[in-house]
Parts: sequence; structure tokens; C-alpha cells
Amino acid sequence: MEENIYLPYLMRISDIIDETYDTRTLRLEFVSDEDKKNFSFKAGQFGLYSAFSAGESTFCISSPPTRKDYIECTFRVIGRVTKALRNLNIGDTIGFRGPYGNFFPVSDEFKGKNVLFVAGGIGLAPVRCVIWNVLDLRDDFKDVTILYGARSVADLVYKRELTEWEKRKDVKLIRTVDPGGETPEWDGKIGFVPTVLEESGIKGNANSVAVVCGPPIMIKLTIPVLKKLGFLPDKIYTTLENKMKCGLGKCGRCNVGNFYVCKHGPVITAEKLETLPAEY
Amino acid sequence: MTKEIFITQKGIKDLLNDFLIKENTEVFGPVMKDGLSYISKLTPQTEITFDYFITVNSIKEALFPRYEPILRYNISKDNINITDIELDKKIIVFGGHPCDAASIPLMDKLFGWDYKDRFYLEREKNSIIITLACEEFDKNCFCTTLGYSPRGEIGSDILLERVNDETFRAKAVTEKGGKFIEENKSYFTPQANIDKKYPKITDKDIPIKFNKDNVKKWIEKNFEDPLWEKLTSNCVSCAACTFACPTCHCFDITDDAGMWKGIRTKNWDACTLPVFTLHASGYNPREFYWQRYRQRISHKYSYYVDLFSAISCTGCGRCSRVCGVGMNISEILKTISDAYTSQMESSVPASSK
Repeated sequence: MEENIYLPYLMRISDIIDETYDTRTLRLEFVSDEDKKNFSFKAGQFGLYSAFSAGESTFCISSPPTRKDYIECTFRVIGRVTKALRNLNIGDTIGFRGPYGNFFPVSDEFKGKNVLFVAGGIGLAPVRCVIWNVLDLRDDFKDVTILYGARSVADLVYKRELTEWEKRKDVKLIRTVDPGGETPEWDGKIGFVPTVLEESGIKGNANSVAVVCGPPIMIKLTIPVLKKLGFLPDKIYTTLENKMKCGLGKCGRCNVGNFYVCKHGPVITAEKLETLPAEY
Repeated sequence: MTKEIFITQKGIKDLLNDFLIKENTEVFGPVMKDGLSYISKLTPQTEITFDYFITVNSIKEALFPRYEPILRYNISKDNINITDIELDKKIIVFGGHPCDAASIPLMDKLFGWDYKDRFYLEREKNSIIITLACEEFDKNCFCTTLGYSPRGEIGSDILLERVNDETFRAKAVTEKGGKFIEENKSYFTPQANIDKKYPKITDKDIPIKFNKDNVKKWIEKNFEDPLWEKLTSNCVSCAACTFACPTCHCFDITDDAGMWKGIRTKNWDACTLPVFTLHASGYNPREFYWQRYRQRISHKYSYYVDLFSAISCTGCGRCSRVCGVGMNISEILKTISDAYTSQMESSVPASSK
């Protein structure tokens, strides 16, 4: 008999980080040493995380493949499963299926190039995986620039890491919050991500790649700006974040035209995205 | 030529009944309920019917149950124990038509694509599909438009064709079907009176309703066309069409659990329902009725063809029969196919006309 593709790995929560008032990161370690040994993934892939008794939810793996022994996921508490996941403690067991989907070509297409990361809100989660992947192999890449924006200061995720990137000499970080989302102490920019990007002075060429993740509207508005700045459509990468249930190309809800996000994506270039119907 | 073999209605009833009391066998057959016929899971108490033209539902649920456990688990204080699901039951499905059986190879493509969904594939392997060739059709039928036939063998293990009011000729379509007949020979008979009035219908009786290739060509170019909204403005997103459909395969995965134990299940879902694609953020890429119906039609007639080189529709017409607001899929597809033709005509330069 074929193996049961819906069986999850068991993983133990080894750390919990509250990113914002409603966003949490879980660090997970395999219960079985054998699973741990055999598991590998690439930046951009995702999985199905389950709180037993509540169900499964889809999140990207937000830790980089360069750091072995654990994976991390970051989620906003919205529904039944994410509420149940938040109620778990260090030492508790959850289910994980994956890794699924394609990935960012970090070790080939990105190599030797300038890399620009543009992220909005919790869209930093999939980008963070690539950022650390790139920073852990820093010498393989040229300039690294990160532009990150959120609705408000309170909505910025990975605050500790933002501080770390800010301090690094080999990374340029631009932070921004939407107008009205700033606090008196805020020392970053104020403005929407595409606008801040346009005014940043960042230039792209055939030797640069860009990674864009965030809410669908931000992606739609950012891609034209990137093109204007000189980035080539086949060097602009984004991830499509449609609702998924199986992650295996069966359950039928993530497709954009004939593009199954779980199988052919989630990573997609702007060039390819233009060929799909505008239904994402 | 192999010798012909026949089975009477009584023979079928006896055969199914005897399998019902055997262990580890699920038997599905047509059952009359409130004047309508349904393919149902039989119990020794249920009586099958032969007095129907086409069942309301398809045979889909025999191989792809509307609610199906995919794993079980126990939760203890500091551990989770997962148990896999055994799939060793034999399945006999009697009473579908060729348009039901034709869905099986189509579903195979999806469930066997890349990752293998053993829940569908095992059930299929363990099943015997006994199909009845059609003796009637209605205005909703359009199997011939898609290249299928009311007497078609695709997907069946055994095809039964009526030869008189009481008896069917049994054709073993697959090796599995032949073996099944051989093993259950006592229910079959080598002779029967051939009544000239059968077969009542052939392929030619069911009109070709539209050009299926034109449907795809139009869909590919006209995602934003206002025709979509016009065609589907009656839709109330009830999802009856998807549940009745033999090839609609979308599902949800949910947990059904108490404090200490639970099961994870696959459940039928439908692209026509509004929450199907609703993001956690509240954003929905298919917010409106017509966007969802566009997905249903486009998936079947274009995306599925791109992925698996086959249209995910067998022309059974069930979605039209169950639609509460009278949307008729073959009429909708005809409008689309005609739209393509008129687009082509109008795009021909005047000089070449």
C-alpha cells in the first residue's frame, strides 16, 4: 500500500517568541532522531502545522535551511488552529507535514548578485528565511538590502532581528510604518512600502534580484516599482500565499489559473506571475 | 470471441446481498428515497431499485467518501500517538452509468499526481465497478459532446447492457471484472432472450451541444470578460453542483476530536463556497459568486486540461439537474463556445471575408 501522505511528523516546541501582540514564533524540534537526521528543506518551502484536536494550518518555514536541528514558524492568531497553537507551551507536541512546494534559487540564481528584500507585515516570515540563508553565506552575495514595513510599530515582527540587521555593516535596512502607525519614538520611515521603495534610491540591474512578500495588494503595487527601478521581471521573486489544506496538489483551493500554488509555487517570478489570471 | 454471459435483476440483487453479509465488503447501489434515486451504501435492509434513469448523486462517494478519516490519534499528558488507517475493504459499486465510471480515470490523475493519495487509489484498487449502460437520457445529458458514450466502457470493470426487461448482458471490461464474473459465476446465466427493443439509445441520440475545444480557447483568453458575470448571475453558491458532480474532488481537512483522542478527516468541500479560498487576513481572491463559478468551469475545461490533458467533466448533467436556480451547464458551455466562434469571426480581417 502507498504510504499515507497525510501523516505528520511529531515535533516538540523548544522555544516560543511573541513577535507582536497577535503574532508568535514557535521553534520546533523533531521528536524522532531519525526524522531529524533525514529532514531537509530549502528557503521558501512551507508546511502544514497541526495542533492536535484543532486541525492543520499552512505556514512557511521561517527559519533558514542553513540552521539545522530545528525549524521555526511564525503565525498570527486568527482562527481555531492558530488559537490552539498559541495555547501550547514549551515541551508540547505538534504535528508537521512538509516541506512542500518550490523554493528560492538562493544557491544558484542569487549567487554573486545584489539581493533586495521587500517585506510587509507578517510577509517578513518567508523573507526572513531567505535573509538568514543569505546572511549565513554572506560572502556568496554582493549588497544585501532589506526594506520592511508594517501597518504600525506594534505590528513589526522579528524586532530583535531587525535591531541585529540594523547594526550589521554588511546589510542595509530600511524600516517603515504606514502613515498613522508611527509612535513618537519611531526613528524609521513613515509611508507605504511601494512609496518608500520608490524614494529609497535603490537601483536594480541585470545583476540584482529582489524578493517581495506581503499582503497581495502590496505585492501588486511593489512589482511595478521594482521594474521601474531597473529590476528584471525574471529576477523579481515573490511567494503566493493562497489558502491551502493539503499542500500536496489535491484539495483544489490554492490554484491561480493552472498554477497550483502548493506544487508549482509558492515561489514565483514577476515574469511568470504576469501570465496568470489576476486571481490572487 | 468469448462466450456471452448474462445476469438477471434478481441475480444482481442476490449477488449484492450475499456480498453484504460477507465481512470486509462495502456495497453501493441505487436506492429509492422519496421518489428519487441515490447511490447509497447498502445494508441488508435496503432494497435496490432498477426503476431509475440516473441517480441524483454520482458513484463518487464510494471511492471518495464525503467524510473520511485519514488518521487517528490519542493525546496523553506528554505525548501524541498517531495511528494510521487501514484500507482493506473490498468495494462493490453497482448502478452507476458510463458517465459515472468515466470519472474514475479522471480522478486517478489528480489523486495519483506527484504525491499519491492512497485513500482514493486504494479504494479504487479494491473496488469492482459494475455499470449500467443507459437506456434513457434527458436534456441535461451531454456525454457525447465530450467524447463519451451512453454505452461506454471507460472506468468500468463490468458493463451491463439490458437485453430484456429482466436481464442484462455482462461485459467484463477489465481483467478484474472478468475475474469477478468467474468467481461469482453462479449468479450469472449463459442464456437470455434478446428483446429487440433494446438498446433503446445509442450515441447518435444524444445531441452534441457545444465545441469543447472552443470552450477552452475562450476561457484562456477571456478571464476578465463580463460574460462570466452574466452567465452565472443566478448562482447562489449552494455547492449542490459540486457535490453531485462525479469529478469534483476538492476537499477540506479537519480534526474531529475530544480532549484525549481524535480523528483527522478529509471532507468534501466546494470551490463555489465563499470560505473556500478566504485568507486568514479576510482577503478573498474569489469574493463573488461569478468568480467562484468561473473557477469551477475554468478548472474543469481549461486548468485540468493543462495539467492532466483531460477535461474534468463527463457530461452527466447532474449539476444542471440539482441546480436550485436552473443554471444549465451545457447551455453555459454552449454560450462560451459560441462566444469563441463569434470572436474568431469578428477578428478575421474584412479583406479576407
